[in-house]
Amino acid sequence: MATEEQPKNNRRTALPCAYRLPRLCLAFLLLSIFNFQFSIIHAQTVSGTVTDARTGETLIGATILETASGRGTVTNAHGRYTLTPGVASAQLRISYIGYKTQHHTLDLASNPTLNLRLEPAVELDEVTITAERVTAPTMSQMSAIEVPVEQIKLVPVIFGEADVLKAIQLLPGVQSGTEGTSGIYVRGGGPDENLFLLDGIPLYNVNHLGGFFSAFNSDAIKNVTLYKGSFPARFSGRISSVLDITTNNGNDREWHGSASLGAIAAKFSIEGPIIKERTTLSLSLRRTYFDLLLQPFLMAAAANSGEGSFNAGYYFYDLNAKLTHRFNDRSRLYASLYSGDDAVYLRARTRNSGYSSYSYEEYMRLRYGWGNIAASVRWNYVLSPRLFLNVTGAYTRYRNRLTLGFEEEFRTDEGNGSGEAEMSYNSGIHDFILRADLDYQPTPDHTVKFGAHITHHRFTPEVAGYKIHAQESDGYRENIDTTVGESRVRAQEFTLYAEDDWAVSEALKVNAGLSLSGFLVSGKFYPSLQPRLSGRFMLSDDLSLKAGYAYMTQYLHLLSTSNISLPTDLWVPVTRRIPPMGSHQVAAGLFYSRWGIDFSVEAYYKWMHNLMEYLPGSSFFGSSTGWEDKVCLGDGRAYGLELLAQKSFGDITGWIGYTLSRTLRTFPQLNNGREFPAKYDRIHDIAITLQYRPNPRFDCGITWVFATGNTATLALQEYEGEVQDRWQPGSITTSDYGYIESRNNFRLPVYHRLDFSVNFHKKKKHGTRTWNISVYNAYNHQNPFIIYRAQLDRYTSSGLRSSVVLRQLSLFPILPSVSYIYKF
Amino acid sequence: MNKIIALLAPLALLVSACVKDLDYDFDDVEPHVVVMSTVDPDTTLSLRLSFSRFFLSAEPFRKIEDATLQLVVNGQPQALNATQPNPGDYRLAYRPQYGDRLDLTVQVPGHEPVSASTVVPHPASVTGARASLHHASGVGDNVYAIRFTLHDPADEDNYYFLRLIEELDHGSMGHNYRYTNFSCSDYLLTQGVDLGTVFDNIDGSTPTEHYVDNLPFPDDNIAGRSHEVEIKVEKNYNTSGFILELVSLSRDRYLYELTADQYTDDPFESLIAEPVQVHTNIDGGIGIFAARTRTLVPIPLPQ
Repeated sequence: MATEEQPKNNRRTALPCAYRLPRLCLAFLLLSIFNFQFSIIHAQTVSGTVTDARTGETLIGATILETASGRGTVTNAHGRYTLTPGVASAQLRISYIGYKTQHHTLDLASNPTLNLRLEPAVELDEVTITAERVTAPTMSQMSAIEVPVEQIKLVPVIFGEADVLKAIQLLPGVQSGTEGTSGIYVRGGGPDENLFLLDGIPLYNVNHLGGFFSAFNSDAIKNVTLYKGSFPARFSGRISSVLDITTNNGNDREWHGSASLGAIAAKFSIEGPIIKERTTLSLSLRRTYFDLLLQPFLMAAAANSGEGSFNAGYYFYDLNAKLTHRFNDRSRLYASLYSGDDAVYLRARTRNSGYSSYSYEEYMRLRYGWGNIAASVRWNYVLSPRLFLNVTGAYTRYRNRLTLGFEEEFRTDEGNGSGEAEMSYNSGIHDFILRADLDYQPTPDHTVKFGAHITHHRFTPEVAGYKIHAQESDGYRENIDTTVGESRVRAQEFTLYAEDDWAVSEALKVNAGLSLSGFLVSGKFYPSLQPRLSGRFMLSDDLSLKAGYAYMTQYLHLLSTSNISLPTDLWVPVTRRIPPMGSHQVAAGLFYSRWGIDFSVEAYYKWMHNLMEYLPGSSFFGSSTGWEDKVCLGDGRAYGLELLAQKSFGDITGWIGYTLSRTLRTFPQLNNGREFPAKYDRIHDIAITLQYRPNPRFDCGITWVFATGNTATLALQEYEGEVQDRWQPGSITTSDYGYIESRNNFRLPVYHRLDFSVNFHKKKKHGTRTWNISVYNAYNHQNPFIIYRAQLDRYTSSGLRSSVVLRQLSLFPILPSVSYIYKF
Repeated sequence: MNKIIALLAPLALLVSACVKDLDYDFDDVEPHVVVMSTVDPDTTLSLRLSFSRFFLSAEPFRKIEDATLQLVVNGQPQALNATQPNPGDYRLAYRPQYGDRLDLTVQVPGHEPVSASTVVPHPASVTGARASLHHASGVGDNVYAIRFTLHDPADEDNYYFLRLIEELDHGSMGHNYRYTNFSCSDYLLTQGVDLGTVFDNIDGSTPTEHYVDNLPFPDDNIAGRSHEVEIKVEKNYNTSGFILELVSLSRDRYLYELTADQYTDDPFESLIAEPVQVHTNIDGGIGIFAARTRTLVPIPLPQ
């Protein structure tokens, strides 16, 4: 016996615990199904939708509690709930933060439908709702944070432009990218490892203006939830986080809107009923206007020169539209559209007619645009009081396109000629998505979610086109029209999932799930079985212990340089040579609620494999070599401790977060195969954001962040090297090189910043106007963007003296801004 | 224009206020011993020894003039008879031979000894080198097709550097040379970071748009086989002949040449490209002590 056990023990020791956890997960899921089989009873059910009484907007996460049995549930992403309390007559308590709690008693014999309209608490003179709300300890989900949208709008940000991602960056476990950008790095993951869902549809590019603004217009958003780990099985496709954003349906009673003029952008939103209480429309539009302000100056400058015209600028816009139609209490249809683009453009026309025998006119145009479109149609249908169906058909597209064109016409004594040349560069990804998701509550103790999705991807990694049409004065013509680069790559991705939220006992709740996905590309099929398991154990009424495990697979990569995020970053699929990324994550934490504040301590450890980086010296510039030849694959690990204290209601709201973490990478082709810290390996990260709203006329917010500096690769020594002379066979030539002992060997100075904003509201005849004053980086701390070596030359009495210094470039000094908002 | 200046001036002030010099404590950065040596067979072994310098220093590199050297060849210590014609430049009497394994130790007073090893590669085997003249449209009136067969030894990793040297006859003005990278479909190409396709491209089997630097490459695509290579070169009126230069490199030399070429200290390039660590095989120090073997094959013009 001893000889048989020995190898087993050895194998168990060699494997990381993450590789043993999938089996545990599977066992829990089977146990859940086993229990489920024996616990189906003919219990009565109450179901319905919870909405805002004033606007008709569905409320996500409202609590429905049967007080006698202690059983409860929360509304799903569509405001639906189903509760099977296991009693004949139910005493229901319905509560939601910021709304007045309602109580209902009803007989469940006929499986009744109870649609609820909750009154906002603000207008009812501050009802205390502390006791009724769902606190962090009672929620079964861990590593998930919901940030109220009203709170997001009060977080001070650059140019006063409320930004979902900037607010998310302040949460523990989430790192920001370089100064001012809205990229997020969650628990050691990269910026491409986050699944951004806008009404359930993935969005690929979530940045405007090189990442300084996110693509999400806060005026159009209803709910934001970030999952950093312990992912429920219904989410898949990215390995580090899921940001689930739901947009407003629109007011079903009356028309309302708002218009605002900020430092860089103007916004307009309108929502209301097309058919009262049946069909609603919500529309939000945002556009920057810096380019429009610049036009008069450019035109004046061109007019002064007298040699043509010149026009240039940059803008971004985004449009959110949503049409909702309620056929009846059981059936709703949603049609959503998001469109957002950035564009840089330049047009220059030059004329010369100074010589009688020769004149010409040249026209040059440049346009660089990138952006998303996401369109979806969703249909909700209540198949039975316990079974809810959501079917979605969607299209999402990201592309970037560069066009550079020249046109020329000339006249000479010998004749006339003309020429036209155009160079274009395209890259993009198109997804066609079909998915069905079902919620089923078979027994009081089980809430089951299951479904399937299939996505047809069409990638255009890099395509360059060249066109030349020319006619010389002697009549000679030349026409070239060619396209080079990667052709389209098509791929299919499918997912089947099932998860069960099982109340094992009053204290213990388990969520076990399984996601089976596959990716078919160029005849190669990659399957993946992804178990998920999380549990919550109530240690007391306000203290719980939670733990979770999740395995995630990702079939897409974003080809990005490690230093900056650019629209030229390419989304590419896995290929025969490039396998999918994967991550195992375990997390555990304590959750406590007291004085209306949710406290949490979470620890996590994450293993990642098949991460992708550019090879040394490689970038998207300088070579048209296929992207697969420019990259290498490696592993990563991240671990950390996150502390959070969050207050979501009352006069003072906000949170204090602290993260202690390490993020490390190992690539055989980088750093001589040795482990090195990732660029955003920030050991300490603190964020404090507080909002104060003493009365309806005034509110203010303050944010302070402090973080260990990013890492950078710096050659701290130089030496005189020698290489083969490229032009003198056999000869050796010398050159100076920097000695980089280790990748990311240098730590930039610490990052810290204070922002604040104040809002002054005043009721007017037709609405409310708000003046917003924001100050970004209030004490003007110069935070590092990049560092570089600079040579200083000084002329002295003894001649030229040179010295070398290490110089830091910062992007944003103190930036005050003013915005005007009018809501009607 | 004044309005534009008035608008841009505060912006320029803001940007200039965003630049500052950093004052860091770099006390723990000590200079390293740098060894640079290209080992050629049947050639006097030479070394260049110096110290690295702190990256913010503008001082010249310090040469090492008091080093003690030890060389072991195929397990046998060698009598060095080292001379130093210039400060830091060491010449050793030993002349390496094909297949020799060289173990070098350098002891500099006040520093830990540094060491390195290399094996002198055997010359690359090339047969059937010849040139023919063809008519080709689009790339000039005529092109020379240069063909040769490269034989890659089996069961070992080999690294090469290839170059075609075109000899130009200027009559009474004399001769000079033009160095032509391998050409296919009028595009210049050779080995860059694209380790997988270089030979496909060279023999013309895969039309390509590659235009990359003239660099060494590994034998990944031809390991253990004989591979016929064809290169097309546009005919010049004064072309008088070709020389094929084929260099076999040790692995360390290959990695060093590759990474040294990719290295940049340009701030803009550093921002968009991944950082490059120049390869070193000096244990305890910096630099390269690695061998190469050159083979030159004259290719006469067709009659």
